[in-house]
Amino acid sequence: MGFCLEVSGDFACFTRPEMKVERVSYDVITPSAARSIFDAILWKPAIEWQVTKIEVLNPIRWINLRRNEIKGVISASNVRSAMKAGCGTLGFYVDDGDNRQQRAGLFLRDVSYRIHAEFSLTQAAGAADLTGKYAEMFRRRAKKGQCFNQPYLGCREFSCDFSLVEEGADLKSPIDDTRDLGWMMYDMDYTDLKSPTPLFFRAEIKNGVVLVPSKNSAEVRG
Amino acid sequence: MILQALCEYYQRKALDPQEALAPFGFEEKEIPFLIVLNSDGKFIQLLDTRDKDAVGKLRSRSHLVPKGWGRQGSKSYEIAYPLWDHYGYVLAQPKLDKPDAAPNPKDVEMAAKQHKAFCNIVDSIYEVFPNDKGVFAVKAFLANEVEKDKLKQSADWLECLKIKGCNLSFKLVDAEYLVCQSPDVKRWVAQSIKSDDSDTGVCLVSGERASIARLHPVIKGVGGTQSGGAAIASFNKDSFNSWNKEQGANSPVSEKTAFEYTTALNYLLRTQCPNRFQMGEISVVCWAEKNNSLEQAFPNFFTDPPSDNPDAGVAALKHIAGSLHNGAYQQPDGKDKFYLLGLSPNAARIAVRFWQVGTVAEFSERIGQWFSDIEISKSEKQLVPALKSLLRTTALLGEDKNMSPHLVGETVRAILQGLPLPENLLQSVIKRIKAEKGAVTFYRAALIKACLNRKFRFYRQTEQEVTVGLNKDEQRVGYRLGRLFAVLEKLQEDANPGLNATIRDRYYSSASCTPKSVFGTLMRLHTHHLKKLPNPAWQGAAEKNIGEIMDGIKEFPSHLNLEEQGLFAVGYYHQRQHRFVKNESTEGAV
Repeated sequence: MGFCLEVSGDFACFTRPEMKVERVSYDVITPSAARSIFDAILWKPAIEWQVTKIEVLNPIRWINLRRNEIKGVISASNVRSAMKAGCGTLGFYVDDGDNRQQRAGLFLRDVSYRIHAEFSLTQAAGAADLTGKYAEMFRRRAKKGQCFNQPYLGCREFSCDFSLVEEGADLKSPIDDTRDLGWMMYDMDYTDLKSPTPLFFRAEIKNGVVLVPSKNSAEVRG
Repeated sequence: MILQALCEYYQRKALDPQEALAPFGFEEKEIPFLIVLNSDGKFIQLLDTRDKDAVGKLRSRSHLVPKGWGRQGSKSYEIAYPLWDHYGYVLAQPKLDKPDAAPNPKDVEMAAKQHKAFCNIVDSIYEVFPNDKGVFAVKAFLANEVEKDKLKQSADWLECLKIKGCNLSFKLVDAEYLVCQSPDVKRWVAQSIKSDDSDTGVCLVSGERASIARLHPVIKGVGGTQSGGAAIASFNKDSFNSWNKEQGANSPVSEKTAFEYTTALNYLLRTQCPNRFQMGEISVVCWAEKNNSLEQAFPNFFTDPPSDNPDAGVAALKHIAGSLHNGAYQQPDGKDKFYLLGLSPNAARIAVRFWQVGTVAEFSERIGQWFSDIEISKSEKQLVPALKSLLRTTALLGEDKNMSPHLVGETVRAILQGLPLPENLLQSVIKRIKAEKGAVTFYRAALIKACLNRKFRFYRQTEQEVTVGLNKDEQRVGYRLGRLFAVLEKLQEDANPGLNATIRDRYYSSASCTPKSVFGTLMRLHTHHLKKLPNPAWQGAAEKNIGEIMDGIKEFPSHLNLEEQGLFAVGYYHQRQHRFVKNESTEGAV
């Protein structure tokens, strides 16, 4: 079942894996980030979303920001001992000079995409799970603006607005841009939950449209 | 995209044997001294490879040597580099503070251990390739204490000791290349390329399945990073890891690709590279898909010309002007891709400030547009400014270190994408003008004109653009007020020659922000100045001028917004320039 959402936001960062620390974004939304928007509206273990097409509606523009972040990770043993004791200090402070790391970022701004995706039933689907049921659920929720968590564009702090695109609506045309985007991150392969591996595909934007291959196809390498 | 473009640059260079960069397993290293041996291992001489460069400093020549893999930690003395290293490894020379000082006993011990490791590696190469003359000679030399002493007696040895940790290598007296560059040694290097048992994965640059680099080679040459080098893809703290993956597994890049892109980037960032320039804290490199003269001309648009070639800026401008006709690029190589990468330091990491991809045609056209935007009337001697000189005028005291790095990056991006300049830029320039009491210099006026014109072109196409020279028909009140201010200032200067502070010093800021409060006073003053003119004939000319300007001003506005303040500054500048452009025979006629 195919659906279409139009999303827009002030900022976006689809981080390139090789520049994960001093973030540099991909030019266009990754299929993984697009899927996360659909997941935010409706997801159950019974369904799995597959993004099929991405249309870029706004010209690609960049902005440079520096942000203070931290360098440490809260250790699991601290959490465990706090749970046992019933109280404890787990807080991390950015203005603690030792912990602070300033990270620069090259982000996208004023982004807007039209994302086409479809879902399929997974192995976890039971007898009562029908595609029609989930399709209706999704349509209802997307129209109302209901979501489990606020959809975001790459990073949680860059939240986005979404709206369901119905058949026959007046559509803004995608930008007039055709180029090769190189190898782009497709998604993560979660079959081994302890250590997911990344998947990549060769992305091309043709007249503002990026066609996304299916996860099992040969074009997705991982 | 960035890494992929760098790898393509590496491959483009590899196609041309003259310009090829170091192959996999090798690196370019500066070796100041070479030990010249004959084929028996007897010491002939110590060769100094250093030349004086343009500044007069001695720089050693770079040679292609087998790559020195990293050595750190307490057992680092066990890792010696094949057939080249510093004098501790090569000759058991302990490090000294001064050439004639006595060494520390601990250092002597360390040097002895290092030397043993070096001899071991030479022996291991000899075992695999016993026929190589160079390796045989080196082995014989190292085994022979007499020869080593002869070296220490030679004339240049003290010079060598002066350089701390001086690198040494070997050369046969009758060979063109170094011992470590011989075909047999190259084969040995290829066989022994260390691949730690890292996992295989899909490389995100090439899409191929290959062994993934755990640590990428470092990038040296980005100003402001630590001297050991920094990395673009670096995960040096826990909070940067994803899914508990460590180091390179966070971003799988094959070892070959990692080598290629870092070698290409190090090559582009080397000092004296014509493709590289510095804008404040940002190191910028530019390159094209194929050989293109724009690569060398490009830096001259942005940065000051090098001291040995002050006409480089003019030459670059001519190059652009020659390739454009009516603003459109004419040459056949217009479709070649052109890349611009701006890198900023952050301790041991490198942040990408901006990354621009475009075609040679696009960039040339946009640069041409930029130069026509900053064109403003000027004296004959002044050259067209580079971007750095323009941006320096927004900095306190005109110093590079006070330039805002954000502003630099945004301005470069705006120029290359044909967008209006950042609002912040207009604000900074006007702020500096006011802080420096109305110092509207040529650079500042050019910048303001460019800001205004680009804004009008992008957002309000019906608005008339600011002209290059004085525009007497300009109706906008900001411009007219600027002109009026210039005329009144000149009148005051003529009436009171040798004045220390004119109305510019006292009134510029308030005249440009709140004209209504100030111009009343100024107009009142000017009647007195008219009477005090040394030559009464000038009175008529001055009154005529003032009248003509006032004709277009209906009333003095109470406030001028930022744009109008910009017009004020440009009008002021144009009017002042006007009297220099005409012949000076009518002195006093404003």
